[in-house]
Amino acid sequence: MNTDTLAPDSNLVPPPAAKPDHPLRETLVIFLKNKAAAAGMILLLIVLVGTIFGPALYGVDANEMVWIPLSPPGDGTPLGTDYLGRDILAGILVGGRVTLIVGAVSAVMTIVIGVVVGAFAGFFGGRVDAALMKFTEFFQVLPSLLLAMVLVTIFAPSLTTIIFAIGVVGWAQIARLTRAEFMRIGNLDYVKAARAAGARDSYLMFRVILPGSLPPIIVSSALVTGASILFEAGLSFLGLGDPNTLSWGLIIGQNQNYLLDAWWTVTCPGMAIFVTVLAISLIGDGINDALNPRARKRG
Amino acid sequence: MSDGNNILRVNGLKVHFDTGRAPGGGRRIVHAVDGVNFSVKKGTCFGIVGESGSGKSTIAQAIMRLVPITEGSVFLKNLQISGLQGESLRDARARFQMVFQDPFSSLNPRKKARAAIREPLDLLGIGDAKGRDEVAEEMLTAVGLHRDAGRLFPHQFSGGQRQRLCIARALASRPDLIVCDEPVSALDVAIQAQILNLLRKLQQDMGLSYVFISHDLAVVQYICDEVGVMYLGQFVERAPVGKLFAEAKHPYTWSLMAAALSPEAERGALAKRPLLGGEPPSPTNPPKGCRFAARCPFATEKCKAEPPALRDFGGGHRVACHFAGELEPPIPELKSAA
Amino acid sequence: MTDDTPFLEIRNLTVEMKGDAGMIRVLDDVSLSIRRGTTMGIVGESGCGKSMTALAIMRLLPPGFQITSGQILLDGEDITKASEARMRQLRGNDISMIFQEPMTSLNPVYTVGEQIAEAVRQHQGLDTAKAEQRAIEMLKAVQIPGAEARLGSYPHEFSGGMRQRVMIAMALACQPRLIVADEPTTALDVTVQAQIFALMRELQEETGTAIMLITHDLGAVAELADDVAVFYAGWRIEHGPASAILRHPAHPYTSGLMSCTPRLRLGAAASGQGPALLEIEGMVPQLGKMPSGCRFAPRCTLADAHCRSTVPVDTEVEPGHAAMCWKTKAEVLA
Ligand SMILES: Nc1ncnc2c1ncn2[C@@H]1O[C@H](COP(=O)(O)OP(=O)(O)OP(=O)(O)O)[C@@H](O)[C@H]1O
Ligand SMILES: Nc1ncnc2c1ncn2[C@@H]1O[C@H](COP(=O)(O)OP(=O)(O)OP(=O)(O)O)[C@@H](O)[C@H]1O
Ligand code: SF4
Ligand SMILES: [Mg+2]
Ligand SMILES: [Mg+2]
Repeated sequence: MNTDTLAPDSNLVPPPAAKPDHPLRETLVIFLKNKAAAAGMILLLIVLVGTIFGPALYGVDANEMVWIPLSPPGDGTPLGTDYLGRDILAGILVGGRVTLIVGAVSAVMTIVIGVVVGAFAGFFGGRVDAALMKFTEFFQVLPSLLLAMVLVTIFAPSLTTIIFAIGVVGWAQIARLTRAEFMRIGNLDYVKAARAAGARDSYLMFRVILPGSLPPIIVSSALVTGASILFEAGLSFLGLGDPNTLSWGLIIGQNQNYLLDAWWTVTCPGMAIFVTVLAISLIGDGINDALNPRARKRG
Repeated sequence: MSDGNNILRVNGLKVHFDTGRAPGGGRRIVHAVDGVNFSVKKGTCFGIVGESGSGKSTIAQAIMRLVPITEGSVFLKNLQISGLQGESLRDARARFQMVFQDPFSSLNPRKKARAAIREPLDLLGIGDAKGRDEVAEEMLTAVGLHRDAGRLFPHQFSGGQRQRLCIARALASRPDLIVCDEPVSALDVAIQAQILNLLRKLQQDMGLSYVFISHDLAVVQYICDEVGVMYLGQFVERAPVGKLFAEAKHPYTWSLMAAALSPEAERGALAKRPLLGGEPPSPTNPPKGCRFAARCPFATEKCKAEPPALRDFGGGHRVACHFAGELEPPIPELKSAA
Repeated sequence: MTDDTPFLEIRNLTVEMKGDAGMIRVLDDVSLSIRRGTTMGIVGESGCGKSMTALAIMRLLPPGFQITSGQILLDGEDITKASEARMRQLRGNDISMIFQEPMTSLNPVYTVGEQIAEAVRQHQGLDTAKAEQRAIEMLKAVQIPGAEARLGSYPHEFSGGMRQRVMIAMALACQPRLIVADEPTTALDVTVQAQIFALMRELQEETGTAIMLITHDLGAVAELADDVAVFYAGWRIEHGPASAILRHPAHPYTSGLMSCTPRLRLGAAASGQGPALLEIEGMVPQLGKMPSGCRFAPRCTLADAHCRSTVPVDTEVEPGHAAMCWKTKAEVLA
């Protein structure tokens, strides 16, 4: 925690070994020491490896009928089969890609829209702010699942519409957060100092204020990613997923009628979703703790 | 007005902030700075003192063009900086720079010291990369830091050292004028003395001119050549430093002097002094007469009705009080001088 | 209302902090005592351990910090050993603290009246109506105009000076016997500071509370303090009656602080250039990187090899006035 400050007895001599200590280094150290976050990283790594290399290694076609429909785990297939006799494990491995991609891409979309709207509102204030915040409020009060359902129904369920729908409904919260951070940091003297030194608006927004406001944005990005994955699952479950691309939500959705007779058809992909979202939120918590240690020394 | 020696001229400066709708209809306007005139001669330091909220920082930021100017003009030598926009304003920025009060929030925590000092040069495109690094190192040594200190991040410096960095950064573009907004208020006495002496030394070595804001009269007396005393957006008294402290004529200036503490004073000395009670009125709705009337022990009906003009008492001493020169100062030291 | 039995006595207090490489000393063998009805000024540069002393008395040290030896006797009771329950009883009832930052030490979501009343209710077991009555009395005592009406105001509706008065009202509401004021006016204007100091003196005369005033302003010490303790790098390097220390400091650090303080020259004295401000060069050593010998030696103009190698002992220069410096005697005689 100690930092290499200049030698005490003179203003003129920095200690020979003084290493530039990047302000983020301490954060990284705290993060790496956090057990829960490490567990989250490991879980996420397993999920990623499984979805990237799993299908090739396992080698079973997820769309083929390979066994007796609705046979339980261990009885011919590791995680059982669904109502069409398709291998659940293969489904999970393949479907994971879609779920994770939808989650990630829609999270990126959510974050980009949110950050841009929030940045402009917070930076320029006044009328720009009032107009953008009215717009944001509008999206915030709409019931998001309903809106997403309407969007998907209107534009026919496909991956693009789903990603678009999730992105459109989720950004308001990020926009508010970004706006608040931009307002807070925009008032700090170092931003004024940069302006006084001749910085243009774009430089101030993206090179000075944005890096400073990233920490809370990163934390809530983790949450947003988790939420997007759940959202995709929710839509698929309601039968609004893209029927042609296998995802975790779709497996659950297609098998929901057999829930009582064949629990594994729903529970196994459900567990996959649970583990992934848990992993991401553990990582998010870890980042949050690392960025806001309670007694951070300022000198 | 046409004194060629002036680095900075501020004429009739007004800065009003619109803070939304007033409860009774109309807009709520904060009259943060409400008609201020002064000029700064080359190589001198102009001090601004006054209570919190009197508009000191707003003047500084108006000069720096960080807040919109409602009315009035600001000239840097012959250049009207209050009229500049866009690129021409950016180009002019090299010539006037600022040092802020809080050394902890005025440096970007993600920029190393050298990059922070270079930033004005980078942004304004002054010199080439190598030259900029040299300037940065030169400035580090000028403010009493080691040249290698440029490799460190702001959090690795103490408060006083950070303030030195801020000064180095303000110096980098070789400005004519540096606006210092309470540069020592966040520092303790020992570091304050170091920074004050540094500012003085730099002034002599580089022929700098300062606008120096403080709420500490002793500090202002130490470093300034001329002083303006501010109350609620206006100067109530303005004079060369010697004159102001020898023969202050405004009741508000007296109350500031009365409240000053000294290590030599008797215990409980304040109780015997004429202390100011109450709070300054709201700058949203400044009183129509003398702005100080509600708290002034000498106020009459005339004071409440008519705003006093800033009258000339000779030798550059101006006072905005209807009874300036007629009142008996409640400060013993001033009495003996008068 | 003063008497000579110490109300608070700190004996050889050492506070340490967990560092990367073992424990780091933040306060080193600090002793001081405050008599009833008097004010003790604690002075020193930033980072010398003034706030740590205050927090140790309140037993509110930040996580990672602990009292490793010494005693804090409050009216004879050693509170370093007191249970947390006992401390809660003492805080507010017998000792209250006023923090530096009036903006952040009041809770923004409760009205000022609720906050004062709550403090009184908790500590003195008054019922709601009585507590509110007490809150009004206290707001009047700290000269907040229209106290009844302001009871329902939220902290953000007050100026900084008013908020600090509210803090003082809260601190006084339970009639504590000791008030620890950590730089109570640093964030305020001189005019407001003068009002608050005048108020603190008046209240002290009425109630006989002891006050520990932390500041780096020697003028504030001259105005309020009966006694002074000067801190440097976790050491209490000089202590004694305020008048003695301010007239003839015995430690080079204290006299350095004196000559660093710009003096206001009024009237006839104002003409011409004032004396130059002397500096104490360098800065306070960092925690965990203390020089051996006298900690002030690297910045001291009087330091010699002996100073640099051997920790100085507390030397009395006159009754009740002592300094931790090898050169003390010589300097005072000179
Ligand atoms: N951006 C703003 N919008 C609205 N009001 C403002 C703004 N900036 C300043 N003010 C108001 O203008 C007045 C003058 O503020 P200013 O910061 O100039 O005072 P100051 O003399 O520097 O005080 P301090 O000693 O506290 O720094 C205050 O009433 C303040 O609340
Ligand atoms: N939460 C913390 N974690 C680590 N070190 C701390 C913490 N708080 C204070 N310190 C260190 O403890 C030492 C004593 O600090 P303290 O707050 O008592 O100083 P102070 O004399 O009150 O200074 P100031 O005038 O700045 O308030 C300092 O070196 C400081 O950096
Ligand atoms: S004009 Fe009147 S109210 Fe204003 S300062 Fe002078 S005497 Fe006081
Ligand atoms: Mg200001
Ligand atoms: Mg402190």
